[in-house]
Amino acid sequence: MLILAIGDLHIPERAIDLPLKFKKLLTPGKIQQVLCLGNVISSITTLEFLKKISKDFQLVKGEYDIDNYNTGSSSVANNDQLRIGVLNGFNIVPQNDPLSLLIQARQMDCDILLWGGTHRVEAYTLDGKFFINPGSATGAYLTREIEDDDDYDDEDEDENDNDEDDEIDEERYKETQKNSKDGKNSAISNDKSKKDKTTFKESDSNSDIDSDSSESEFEDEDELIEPIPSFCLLDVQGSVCTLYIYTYIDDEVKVDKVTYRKE
Amino acid sequence: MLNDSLTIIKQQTLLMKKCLDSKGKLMDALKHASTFLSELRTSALTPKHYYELYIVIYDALEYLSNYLKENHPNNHLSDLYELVQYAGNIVPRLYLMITVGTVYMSILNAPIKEIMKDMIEMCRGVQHPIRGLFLRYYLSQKTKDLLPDKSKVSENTSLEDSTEFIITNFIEMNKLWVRLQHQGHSRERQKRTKERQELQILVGSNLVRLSQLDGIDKFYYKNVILPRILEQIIQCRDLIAQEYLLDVVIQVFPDEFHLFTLDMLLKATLNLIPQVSLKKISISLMDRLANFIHREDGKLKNKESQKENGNETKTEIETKTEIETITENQNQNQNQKEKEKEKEEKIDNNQVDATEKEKEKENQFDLFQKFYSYIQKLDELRPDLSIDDITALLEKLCKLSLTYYPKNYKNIDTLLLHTLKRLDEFKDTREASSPITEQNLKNILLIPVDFVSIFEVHEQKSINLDLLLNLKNYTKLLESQSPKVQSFISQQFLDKILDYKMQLQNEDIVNCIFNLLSSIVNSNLSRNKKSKKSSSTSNSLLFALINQEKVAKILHLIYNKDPIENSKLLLVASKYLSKGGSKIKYTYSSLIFNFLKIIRRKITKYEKRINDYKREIKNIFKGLTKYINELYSFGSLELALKLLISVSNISNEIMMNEFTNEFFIKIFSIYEELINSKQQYQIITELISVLILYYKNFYVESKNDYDKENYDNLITKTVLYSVKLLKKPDQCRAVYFASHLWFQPNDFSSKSSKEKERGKEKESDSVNTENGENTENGANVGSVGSASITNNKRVMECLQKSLRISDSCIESSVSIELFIEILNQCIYYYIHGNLISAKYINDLIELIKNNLENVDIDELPVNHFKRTLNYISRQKLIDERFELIRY
Repeated sequence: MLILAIGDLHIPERAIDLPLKFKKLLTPGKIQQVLCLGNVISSITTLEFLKKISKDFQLVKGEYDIDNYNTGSSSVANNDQLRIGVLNGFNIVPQNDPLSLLIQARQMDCDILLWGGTHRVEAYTLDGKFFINPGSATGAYLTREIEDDDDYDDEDEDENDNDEDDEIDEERYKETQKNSKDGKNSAISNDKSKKDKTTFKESDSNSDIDSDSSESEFEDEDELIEPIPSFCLLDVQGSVCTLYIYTYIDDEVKVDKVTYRKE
Repeated sequence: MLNDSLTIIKQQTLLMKKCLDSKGKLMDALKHASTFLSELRTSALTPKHYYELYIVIYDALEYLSNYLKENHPNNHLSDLYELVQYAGNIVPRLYLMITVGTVYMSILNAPIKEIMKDMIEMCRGVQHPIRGLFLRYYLSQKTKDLLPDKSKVSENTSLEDSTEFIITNFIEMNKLWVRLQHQGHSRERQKRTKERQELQILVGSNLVRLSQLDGIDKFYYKNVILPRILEQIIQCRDLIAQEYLLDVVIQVFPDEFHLFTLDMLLKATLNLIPQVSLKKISISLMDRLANFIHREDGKLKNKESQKENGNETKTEIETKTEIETITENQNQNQNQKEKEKEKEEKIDNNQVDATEKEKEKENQFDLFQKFYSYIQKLDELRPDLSIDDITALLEKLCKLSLTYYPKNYKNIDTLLLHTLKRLDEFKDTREASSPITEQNLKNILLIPVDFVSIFEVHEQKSINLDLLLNLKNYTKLLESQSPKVQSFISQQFLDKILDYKMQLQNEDIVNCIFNLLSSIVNSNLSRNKKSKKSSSTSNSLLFALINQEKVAKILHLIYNKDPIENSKLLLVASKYLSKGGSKIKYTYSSLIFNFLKIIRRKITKYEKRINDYKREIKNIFKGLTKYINELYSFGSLELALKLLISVSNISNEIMMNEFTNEFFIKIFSIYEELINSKQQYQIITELISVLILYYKNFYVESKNDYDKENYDNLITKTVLYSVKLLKKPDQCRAVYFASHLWFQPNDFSSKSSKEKERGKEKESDSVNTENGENTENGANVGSVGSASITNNKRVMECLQKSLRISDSCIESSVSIELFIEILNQCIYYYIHGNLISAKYINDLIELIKNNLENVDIDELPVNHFKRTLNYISRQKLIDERFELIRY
């Protein structure tokens, strides 16, 4: 069963829209359940878009979901042998603290805890539980200080015991895409992401040449670190959850895979 | 009737063919021909049926003329030409004469000029409209390839003879055609009009023939052909003829001719009878001319691409330029970059070409001016013209002007002004608000939206802002429209700007765009009231909300690489947004976040010079406070609070602690007005989270004692609010959350907070010692340490307080659940150091156990308790300190 974890979109107050390439991936019919981590209701159109992805749409309240007290601030979705807790993250004190998150997971009695609010995708296991932050799907501006992202890239390796080779990654990605009846597209995006990894620097320099002076200036100016757009897909089979982390970097969608097994 | 005639014709044709096949029976054959031709004398058939007869007879006569051509040495054609004139009836006689005459013309050294003259004269003999039209059509068809023109000029004939011949035929046919309208009973007028339309193609064919003549240049066309045609069209004073024939003229002759004779053509249209739709005619003319330039461009491009192909295949053409390009090509192969440059140059060349072409055309004459003065004349001479037609014409002219003079924005502006004037004259008439006029006006107003910049080198599309900025009358025209039209146009702008992701980079553009969006941005209370009264459907409300969302998105597109400029632009935008009244609650957040982005951009860019920018940042903060106050005054308390928290996050990030403090005081004052307890609880937890983060800047980094004092005040106040929350569980949780305010596990001197977070579980021992050292160090080294010591006390106080609150809950299951939560907090602190003693935890566990035994309780707290105990036992495996905890 494929579950989408997405949140912190902050449209329109902080971001214009989801990246187009994300929108193309998130078409109805592929995903069985959508768990939305909030900060979304100020955009009617985006909310509609998310609701169309799957009939099973669950939403928790985000800190910026103003005047919306009908939505609970946390929820638990039961899937096979895994209980997945969802919350926005503002109700965790201190925010983003792993031990506090663990307390919350214990209270909610869940095996996987989805939390947000940091606009930074990450996943790790702690005390046998799986913690997933799908980040911000729009890469929305964050007012809290962004932590140094030096270790951002190797984060997955650091935090996950179940890291696998990239190639397997790609294959699995292909598979899921095929499952979702989108063979052609997946082949293309697959190739692209492969290229992206091997010849990343080259393509980068090329694009510099293509772009005119004003654009490159623009890039210079915008050195300010903006969060990277991201969301997660959870493939839940029995007591195993395969997590696909989708990030949007330099106009390309990158996919990383992590596997969690409930003990 | 028709069938009878057809049988007769078939019989007679057979007989004629038989006679022709046997020798010496030509006379008999002609007699048979004359017989079947007599069938064309009927006046009982409709044009359609008559045409069927004509077709059959045309084929039969074709057989005859082929025979004559093959056998002409035997039968002298000049004699024959005389001979057929003895046929009894005029219709068969003239058909036969034309048949023989055209064969005669095809023979070498024939007196072509005389024959042409004779035939065209003789045709006058038939004055019945239908019979005459078909007879002359026959003449026209048969002479098609025989008329002398540039390619077929002989000694005593000339092109003039042919044009004269065709024009005469055209004039005569038109007369017959027009006369048809006035024959017969007046109640059959409708029917006759229809019949005439069926016949129109016969008349028009003459003009087609004329255009096909080889050797007519634009001067000859202007001096000889067009004046006579126009004269006839004007003089006939017939609605169908005038509309149809002018259209044919516009369609069949080349564009260059029209450009050359535009004055004449336009003048002629003014002399037409009033019923004629000038709109139709002039629009088809403008369309034709507008397409002309596209066709030309197409040709040019084709040539270009051909050239490029030539380069690629390297055909050996030994002209200098070609060789040069080939060598260039080789260079290109060596270096891709150069190739790209080449391409760009080519594009540049294209542009130059285009502009040159433009100039050329301008030198020739001002097409726009001609049409414009024409429209002005129309206004004068034809006051009966409807506003529908006028607006349609103006719209077309705008488009024509943009195709011919894409850079001449003045033209468009003139037209907009004109539209305004004319609309004013039609004010309050029913016409002015007709759907057609409305659509035309929409089209005019959409011109800048649809006119995507052509010379854009990159593929990125954009609304032509140059055009828009130069149209001084645009906003006036827009404002003169109905609210419905206005919001439609604004809508289009919104969508296009978002589609193209156009960056709004300077003040003029921002002003211009927000002026255009005013119908969406501005508050329109009066209209809202109306719609509420009638039927404020949820649909229209939804629509309005989506529009506001789009406006908020546009604010992200306001961009200037210079942060200071950028903030000025946002300031401009804010002036428009503030007119929105209560709508600001949809747009101000986006505005505020964009300001915050700028502040952060300034910091990252000019980190070292932050002090230089403090003044500007202060100004921004003041502005933001103003916006938030506005939101507050419209009753958006929660939004105002959230935004204040975000703003104070940024001021904390850049160490402007006094501002952070101010913002928090503001937050508290608004907080006190909140009524909803859920809201209060959420805000309090957020405040606690945020304040935990501020500790570093207020306590560790700051050397200012005021900061510490302020911070202490802020957190004390927050705890006070926590205790005052309405519901006991909320109170309890807020208080144990607040305990974290006095606990900072992060070691700010070394940036290894991350390591700690990660390794907590596995390396809790080392974390423990590290923290222990911290507190020890703190105790020894001044203020930070002393703060830590009081911290511990305060943490305990908070936990005690929350225990007391949970104990006071009436529902025992609630209070036990809270006990368990507090137990978990205690474990948290225990992992982080010796702040909480094992005894304290043991006592708490005991307390929970006792409570669980005493009362019948839900499963939920029981399970939660079990999970907590399991966690403790797991911790024992990796942290020996947990051995002290017993249960």
